[in-house]
Amino acid sequence: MGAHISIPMYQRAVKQRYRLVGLKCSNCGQIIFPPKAGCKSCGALDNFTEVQLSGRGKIYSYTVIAGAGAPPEFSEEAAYRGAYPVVLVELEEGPRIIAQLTEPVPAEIKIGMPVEMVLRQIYTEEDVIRYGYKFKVLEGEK
Amino acid sequence: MRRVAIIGAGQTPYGDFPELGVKELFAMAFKEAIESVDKGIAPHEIQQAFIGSLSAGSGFQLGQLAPLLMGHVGLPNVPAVRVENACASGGFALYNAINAVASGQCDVALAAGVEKMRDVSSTKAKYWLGISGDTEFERLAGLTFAGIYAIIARRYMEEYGLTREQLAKVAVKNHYHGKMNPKAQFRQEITVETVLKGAPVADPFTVWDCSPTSDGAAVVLLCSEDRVKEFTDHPVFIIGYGIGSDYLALQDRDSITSFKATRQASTRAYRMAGITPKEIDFAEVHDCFTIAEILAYGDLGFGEKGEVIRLLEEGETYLGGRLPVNVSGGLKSKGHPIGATGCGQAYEVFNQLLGRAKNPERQIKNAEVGLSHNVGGSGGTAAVFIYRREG
Amino acid sequence: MEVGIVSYGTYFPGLGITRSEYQKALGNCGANFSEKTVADFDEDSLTMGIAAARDALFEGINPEEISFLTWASTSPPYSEKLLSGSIAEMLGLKKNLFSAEYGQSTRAGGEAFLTAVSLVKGGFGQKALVIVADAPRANVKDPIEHGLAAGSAAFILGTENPLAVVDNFVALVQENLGERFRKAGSGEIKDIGVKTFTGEAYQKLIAKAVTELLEKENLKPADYNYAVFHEIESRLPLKAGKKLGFTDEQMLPGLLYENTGDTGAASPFLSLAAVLDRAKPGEKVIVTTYGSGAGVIAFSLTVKKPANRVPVREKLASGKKYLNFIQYLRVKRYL
Repeated sequence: MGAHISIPMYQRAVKQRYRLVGLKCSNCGQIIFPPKAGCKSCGALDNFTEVQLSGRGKIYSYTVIAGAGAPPEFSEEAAYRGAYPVVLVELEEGPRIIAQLTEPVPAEIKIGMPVEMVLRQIYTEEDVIRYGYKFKVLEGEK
Repeated sequence: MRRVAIIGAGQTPYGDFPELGVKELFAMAFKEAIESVDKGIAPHEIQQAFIGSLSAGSGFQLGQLAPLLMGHVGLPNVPAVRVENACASGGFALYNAINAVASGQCDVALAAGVEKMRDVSSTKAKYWLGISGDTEFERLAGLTFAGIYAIIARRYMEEYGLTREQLAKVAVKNHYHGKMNPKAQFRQEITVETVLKGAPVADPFTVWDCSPTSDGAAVVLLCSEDRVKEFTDHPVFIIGYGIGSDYLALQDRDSITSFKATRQASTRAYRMAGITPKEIDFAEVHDCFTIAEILAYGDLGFGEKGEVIRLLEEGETYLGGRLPVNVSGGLKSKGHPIGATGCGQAYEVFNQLLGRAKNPERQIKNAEVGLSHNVGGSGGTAAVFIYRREG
Repeated sequence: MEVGIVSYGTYFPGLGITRSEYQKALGNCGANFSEKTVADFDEDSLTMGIAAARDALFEGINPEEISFLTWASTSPPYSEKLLSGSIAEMLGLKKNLFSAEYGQSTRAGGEAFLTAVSLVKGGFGQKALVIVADAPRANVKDPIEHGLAAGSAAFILGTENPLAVVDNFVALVQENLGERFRKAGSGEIKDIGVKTFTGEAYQKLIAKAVTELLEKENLKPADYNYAVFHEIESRLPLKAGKKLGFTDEQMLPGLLYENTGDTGAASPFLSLAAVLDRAKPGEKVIVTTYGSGAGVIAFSLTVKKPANRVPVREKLASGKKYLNFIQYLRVKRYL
């Protein structure tokens, strides 16, 4: 299926996708990821500064996408992995983000497990590799 | 603002119709709606049309779909507009049509929804199903709609102790209802075991937790109070309605075990109707996935979040129970032609209130007040309507 | 001005396969490891390199201070496309940096390392980041594939407070045909399979470079505490080292092949990291990097202070997921 997230669109967000750069509202201190034009806490429309998020957090919820149900961009990955886990992570700084969980995946995924961001290939379209964040369960928690 | 009533409604069966396109499906529902008006209505009485659709037949007519469809039924000069809010497109079409009549813009309006999902390859169907979340950040995690609702389900299970079996009971109930509905896509009863042993889709869901892809259309005819008598002595008034919105992406919401959009919409609807949830006799709610019906119970005020599962466990939301929910079979069993769903729910409520359910064994007895609830995506939008039979 | 390693980081993928899986599936295994590392489906040399670099940037190093970036890999995700911009964005480096990207042979790491040393020594900037990452591929029917593995190492070079300083180096090239090569447009390495011929070339060139380096420094093998010989396979490095007069004690700490397989260009730098993990101030290290075709870069270091990193060997031993052969074929997209 066609590139509904175009390369230019993807590139405009590489700071977020490659290394989790968020925004901090100078008005109320709210940390925002992914960036938005309006603060979700106080509604301010300007005075945001960029902040580098730690990439550490905890699993807030999860699912495991069965191979056959994967979106078209992920069908090759689904064919290889059979199924792949997707987690909603609550970052140390507050924002929650959704991403895949990479190997080694624990036998049982549990809400609350500590995770850390890793950079991986997300998918390839138009022969261009799209890199972005995924998470892995931190050592010793498996 | 004027009071608005439904004077007629039509709906195609939902399912797989290889021989029918978007135009034919719409025409079929339109014809039934026209014929359902007690005292008859000439099609040219319709003054405005609002038609909900997500993909307009998988993208073949994203521009100006509504006038195309109206032209197809011989009404090219009725001002018409396509309304899009993903799975709530039909509900928002209905909302716009009600407002057009209530505001005095017109006396008779058509609200409709239509979707043709079964014409395309599974890859393209997945594409269309995947465009209504926050595509830039949710979909790129490899997440499907089922996956998004599955993440909600897992969190709900964690926070409120909801069990896998309890989730399955939503599907079991709605299939029990759908079996009786001649217009339902799946007319088979299932058990908790069927659900648990189904093909996995997105943990904890199997295929039986998910609504199907469907073809279908629904049409609702609305009229201002002052002219209702020209068309029927049995109008169904929309006594309250409301809409709501929220961040599209789960990651942006404070809570994922409740839809703020639904709470917003239902609060407004109840306030306008001047009633409480206790006065609702039955409801058609948006059960695109089993967890969605559980969320709806809480967000529509049928009970406290986390405790609402009791409604299902004790059979209260079954036909014959205190508050039957999704007697049509719901999205789960009746089918979910995305844009049509909101208007199809209104069709069901209209017929139930008038005692006109197609199969007598599925008729709810003595119902006066009904509710319908339509959700866009994973709670990005919602529309709630409260209906009362008058006369 | 002394230039040295200020910090280093390493990375191995979380997947592995044992030699016995090869033997079960194919009846034999053309490489002599007990287990090797395997890059996951969604990993490549760039993602692995970033992981090692993030490990190296662990504390007290401001990515903004990095003026030079050198990259080495024989298996970059693109045959043509600058990677420095990706790396700078992925790590949050400043964008006005000089960068060079190497990959013509497994000696690429040595080239990247010495380029960075020279730039810092030249005083053109404060710090350099060197990333060496590799996950080479070959036709799975070819025994040369059996040893191929994946890993990465990254080094921050600078002049302030280094862990180890670079003392000297020697670089040699010579014509050598038929040894590990990859034709333009192909993703798979090959060799002509004449092992004695290519083994000789490796040993002779390494010996020549090390001998020259010892002469330059006016030192004997016994003056070194550790010697790292590029592990292009399991036996040749020890053989070459012994001929030169190095002992097991000097060489064993740098031998990782048994547990990693062939990590390509990254190999000698992962070995160097394993040595730095345990080296004490005052100790001396000699490192050789070998590229088929052929060339050697040998360099020597003096350790200034103990490193305080998670040891390479500990990383190798922890929490890996082991694949069976079919899973391996799928993960590598051979199936």
